[in-house]
Formats: sequence, C-alpha cells, structure tokens
Amino acid sequence: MLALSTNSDFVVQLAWWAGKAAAIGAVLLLICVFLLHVRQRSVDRHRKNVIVKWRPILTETILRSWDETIRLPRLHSDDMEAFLHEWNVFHDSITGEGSIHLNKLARKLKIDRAARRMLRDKRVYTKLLAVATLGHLKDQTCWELLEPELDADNLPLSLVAARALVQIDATRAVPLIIPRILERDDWPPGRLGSLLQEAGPGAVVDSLRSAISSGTPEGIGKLVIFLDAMPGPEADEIISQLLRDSDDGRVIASCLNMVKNPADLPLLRQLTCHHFWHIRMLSAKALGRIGKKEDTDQLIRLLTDSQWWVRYRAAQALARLPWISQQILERIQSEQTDGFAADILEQVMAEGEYA
Amino acid sequence: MTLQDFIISAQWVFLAYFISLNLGYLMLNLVAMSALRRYLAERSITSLPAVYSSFELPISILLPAYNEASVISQSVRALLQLEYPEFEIVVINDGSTDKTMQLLIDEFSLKYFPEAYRARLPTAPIRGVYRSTVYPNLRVIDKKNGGGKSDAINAGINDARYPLFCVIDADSILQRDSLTRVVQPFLEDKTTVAVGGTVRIANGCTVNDGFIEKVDLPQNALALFQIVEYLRAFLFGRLGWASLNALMNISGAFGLFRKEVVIAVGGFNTDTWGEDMELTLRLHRYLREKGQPYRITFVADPICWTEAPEDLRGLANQRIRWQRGLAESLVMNYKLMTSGRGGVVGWFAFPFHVIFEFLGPVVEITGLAFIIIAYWFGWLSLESFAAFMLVAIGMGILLSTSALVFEAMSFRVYPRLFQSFRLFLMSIAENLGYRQLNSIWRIIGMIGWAFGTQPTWGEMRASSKLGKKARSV
Repeated sequence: MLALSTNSDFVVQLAWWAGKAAAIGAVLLLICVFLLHVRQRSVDRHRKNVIVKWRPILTETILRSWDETIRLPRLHSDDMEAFLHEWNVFHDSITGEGSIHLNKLARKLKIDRAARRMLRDKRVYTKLLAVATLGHLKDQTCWELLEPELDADNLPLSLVAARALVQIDATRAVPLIIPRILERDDWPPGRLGSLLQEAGPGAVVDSLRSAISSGTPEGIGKLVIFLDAMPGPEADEIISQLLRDSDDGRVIASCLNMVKNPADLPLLRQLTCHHFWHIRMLSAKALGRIGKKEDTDQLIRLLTDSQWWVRYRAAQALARLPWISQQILERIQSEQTDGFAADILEQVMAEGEYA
Repeated sequence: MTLQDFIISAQWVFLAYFISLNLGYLMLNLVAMSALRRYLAERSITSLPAVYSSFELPISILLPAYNEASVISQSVRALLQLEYPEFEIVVINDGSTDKTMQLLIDEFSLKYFPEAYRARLPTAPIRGVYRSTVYPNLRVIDKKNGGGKSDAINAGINDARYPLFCVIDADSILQRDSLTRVVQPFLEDKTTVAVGGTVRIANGCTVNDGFIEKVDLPQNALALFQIVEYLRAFLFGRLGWASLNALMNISGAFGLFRKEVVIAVGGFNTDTWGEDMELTLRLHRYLREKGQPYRITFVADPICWTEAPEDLRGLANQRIRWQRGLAESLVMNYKLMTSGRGGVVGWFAFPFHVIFEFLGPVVEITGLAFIIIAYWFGWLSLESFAAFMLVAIGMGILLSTSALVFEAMSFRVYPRLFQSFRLFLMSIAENLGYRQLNSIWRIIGMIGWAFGTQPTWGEMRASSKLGKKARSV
C-alpha cells in the first residue's frame, strides 16, 4: 500500500467528518419526521374534536330561530382558531337570517373580543381569520383597526380586509379601495369585481366615475372593467363617453366588452376597421349584441378578415342576430368566395347544431 | 506526476465535487424550506372560501394519445369529472394504429365537426376534428402521426380555444381540484406564463373511477426508490428553483401554460426527447431576451399521479430518455447561460444542471470506479475507502431524509409513521446499487445523445410492466 501523505490524510479526515456529519444529520432528520408526525396527529385530533363539538351547534344556529337563552358550551382559547375557521366557512356559504344568527352566536361567545386580540398576532393566518370575522360581524368600531390592513403586503390579507370594510360600510369603503386598485398591481381583477359587486352599484358608481374621469389611460383601463359588475344606465353612460373620447386601445377594448347602448353603433361600425385586430374582434362581438339589420354587411365583410378570431367572432355575431335564420346563414356561406369565410361560417353553424 | 500525487489529486477532485454537489442541494433545500413554509401558510388561508372565489380563467386540457386504447376512455371520463368552472378537453389522436380513435368515437358519441382549424404551429396534417354530442366540452383531433408527442401537443395548441392550456399524459391521474390549484399562480400574478404541478407515484395506490381513492406505498422496491426520488425532485428541487424563478423543467405529465406565449416561442420542439424541459428553458430564454417580466412557477400540492415503471427495462428506458432530453435541452438553450440577461436561471440554475445533473453520472461512476480500483490495487487504505463511501452514501441519505421532513411538514400523503420509516430505509438502500445503476443508464443516455437519432412515440414510451409511460421528473 502506498504511504499516504499528510495532504491525503487530511482529505480522508475531511471525508470521514463529512460522512459522519451527514449520517448524524440524517438520523436527526428522521427524529424530526417522527416528531412532526406526532405533532400533526395531535393537531388533527384537536381540530376534529372542535369540529365535532361545534358543527352541530353552528348548523342548528342557522336553521332554527335564534334563542337568546340558549346554553352554549365554553369556547376555550385553544379552540378559537379552529372554531373561527368553521364559523367563517359557515358564514360564506349562507346569506340572510342564518348569518344574523351566526353573528348573535359569535357575540354570545364573545368572539368579537377574541378577533380583536387576534388582529395583533404576527401569524398571517390568525390575522386573516380575525379580519374575516370582524367583517362578517359588521363591527363599525373596529374600522380603524382594519383599514391599515388594506395596505398589507400579503395579498390575501389585503383582499380580505377590503371585503371586511365593504361588509361593514360599503359607501365608506369603496372610496378607499378604488385608489388602491390603481396603486396595487397584485389585486386580481376577478376578485375585485366580486368585491365591488358585493358593495353594490349605489356605493361604487360615483367613486368609479370620478376615478375614471381623472385617471391616466392605464388607470382607466384598470378601472373600466369593473363597470361590467355595475349594470345600469350610469355605467352605460360612462362607457359611451369613454368610447367617444378615448383613443387608447386598452380602454376601447375594455369598453367594447361592455357596450350595450345602441347610440354607440356608429362608433362601433367605425371600429370594425380599426388597425388593431383585437378591437375589430370586439367590435364584431358587440355588433352581435346590439347591431341592427344594416350591420349585417359589416359582419359579412369581417368574415374575410386576416385574423381567425375576428372571423370567428363575426360569424358568431351573424348567427346570433335575430333576423338571421339557418337558411340565411347557409345562403351567406354559399355566396362566400373566400374559403376562410366559408369555413368559419360552417364551423359556427355546426356549433349551433350541437348546442 | 507520481501515482501517489495522482491519487491525492483525484481524491481532492472527487471529494470537492461531492461536497459542492451536496452543499448546492442543501442550499436549495433551505430555499425550498422557506418557500414551502410560505406556501403552506398561504394554503391554509385559501381554505377560507371568501379569499379565493371562482374567478378562474378557462382552461383547454390537451391530451395527446398514441395507441392508448387501454387507458383512453377512463382518462377522458376522469377528466370530464374535474371540478373547475370552465374547461374543454382536446384529445389529439396522433395516428394511433390501435383502436384508440374508434373507442373515443363509440364511448363519447363523437361526430365529425367542420372546424376552421388554425395552423398557427406547424404539425403533421389533420385528418379531422370530432366533437362529442354528449359532452359539449370534448373535442378530438384526428391527425396523421407526426413522429412524437410534441407534434400532437402543437396540434392541440392550434385547436385550443382558451388562453391557458394544460398538457397531461393519458395515464396521468389528476385530483378533482387539480386545475383549481394549478391555476392559482395565474390569478395571483399576471406575469405568470407557466406552472408545473407536483407529480407523485401512483403505484400502490387504489384508483377508482379514474381518481386516487387511497394512497399507499407499493411493494415493488423499484417503485419505492422512485417515490423517494420524486419527493426529492419535487419537494425541494422544483420548489427551491421555482422560488428563485429558475425552474428548469415543467413536467410533461402535468403543466399549465399561457397559450399565446408558447405560440410566440414556436410551441413544443419536435426534435428532442425532453420536450417539456426544452420548452421551459426556451420560455426563459425568450422572455429574458425580450426583457419581459415573467414568472415560471410550481405548485407544491400533490395534484398529479403517474404510474412508475416497476421493471428494470422500463426504468432504464425512462432514465436513458430523460438524460438525452436533458442534454438536448441544455445544448439547444445554452445561450441562456451566456446571455447578459440570464439572471438566476441562466447564471446559476443552468450551470448547476450542466455540472451536477448532466455531468453528475460520469463523475459519480468514475469516482466510484476509481475508489474501488485504488482500493483493489492497494493504493487506497481500507479507512480511506470507507471514508469516501461514507461521505457519498451519507450525503445521499441526508438529502433523501430532508425530503421526508418536507413531506411530513406539508402534505403528509403518506400519513403513517411506518410509511415514513419504510421510505427512510429505501433512502438508505437506494445508495447500494440503485443510484449507481441509474448513473450507468444516464451515461448510456449521454452516449445515445452524442450519436443520437430523433425521438418517436415508441421510443418515448417506457416499456414498464404496466404498459404505461412515465414522464421526466
């Protein structure tokens, strides 16, 4: 055997130590796995016990008329999070009388006080439960505690805070929320749409109108989509005005998705020749909704557009027009000299048959 | 240089390689741990219905199929039962020579549909598009064989109606809420272009009606080894890289993509064995070169299950194919590493994969051979031999056990302590032959790549006992 130098001895020693450290580390991690299993089992058991104890009471509360003298079991502080989770899930799945009963139950159990305490907790989940609970309780006195959470870095927390404020006082909450829609890029439009719907047109339209009138094209593009959640003449009027005044593609596209006013038809007809295909496509779609007989030729022309989506939407729009029967569609198709136009009409007619 | 000098230098090289490899993975482990804690906290939040209500984007599910007569009906039926507000299923029959197409026609009452098909990505010719008269959201594209899965997927992308598309394998088993979970990153961040899902091994599980009913460990040792591998690969590998926006691969078994971006980069590449990884890297390269903000991420929930090969031949085919795919993907996208806009993915994840994933098998096998030969000829003492073996095996066990910790603190798919202990034993046993065998297969894959041919559906299919194919981890 070759005599190993000091240098080589060092390598071997290093390998020994690294190997031993890895082996010890692995055993420690195995112990960790064991402890995690034990802990999780105990957490699961505890949660299950809380649910078994409280779910029947919550069900009873929403189904029966409220009885102030009802005797309730004691809600331990250790059970609070699991209970609040269950209570919030119940709240989100019902409306009307049942939710009023749930709030009475909550007050009887003094969970409003617990929720206020939980707002100071550093854990996001605990804080979120507290915010959601105070929102459902419509507790005006905690407004100052909830408002700062609108600016929370954590997205779900900021959204739940916005919803809680809307639940407490929509008219006061919406003017706080709309400027933040412009500031925050992380608030998903879909969820904001449902939030503003929950607030109701009465609370939203004025704030939205003033923000749109003073906004940048980018800001208007962000806000205008929420008009869709506010059906009514006020929203239609804002859309018409934007269509007339704006030359920003994003704003026009958003408006075209919602336009319902026949007075906008002349503008719509012009937009079917727009250089941006997305706008031509949305114009075709809008003509399908509010177009008149004289718009049929515009739509037939769009069947030969260079973009598949424009042709497809034009064909769908044609098929939807009340004066276009299957026979007329077939005739239009047979008259097409453009193969793409004939193909897209054939597809849309077949879709109609399958529908 | 004397023999002694050579041995000492070689010892240094191999030890340094092993330690840096494992330190790299341990670092990734730490990053993944923090990402997992964040993910779990957010996940507990999403259990409240008010936080995440149903504003999901519609999804086109693309199911490429070549000679899948044994599984196709069950797969489509399971997909039809997914819980998601709006989705369509597009099955692409890639010129199957068995009864796949006829089965689909009979089972789902398909009728020829005169679709104005748009060939935005070039593919083999389309023979026709069919639509179910029973399920309005089911269409089948019947096309000529395009030589591989990529061509079939590209045809599906051409026909997809929705802005997001999800590619799955015919033998992938999804959870009912898989789409709801995998779409979340698209809802939270509008720059998201692709999301991968955690793939778990279905061997040993009870499957009913196309869904996993009961999770259990398989009896087969090879499948057990692969469970440990998948835990390592997904729970800290993918999660760690994803949290740095440096995810190198979205598994072909289940991934969700933004359609327009995939079309902009040219769709799936038909000239590679690793089309999933190649596309992921190309997306990084394209978006970085354009300076466009983007996110390619990963959902840690176990949302897709796949059958792993249980015989050596099937496993060998799979690993050879993966290594070829890795090599091709890295070579095709080497500019990501040399680009001035490479970022973490180009300057860190890419070289890491070149050094430790691509060259890893060569170094590991050479190192092992060197130690054994040196010991055999008496150039290395028994103590040195044992020390090097201990460090190689110990590090491997440490990494695998850390994946078990991740599993225990997160999803607990295997909730019984005994199951964790069995997996721990497998993480020791995998170092005694399995890992080395894998490295040999991967070296064969590298040789195949060096003298390679183009992939075909047949070669891309692992010939496991179960007759199912598995996708790259």
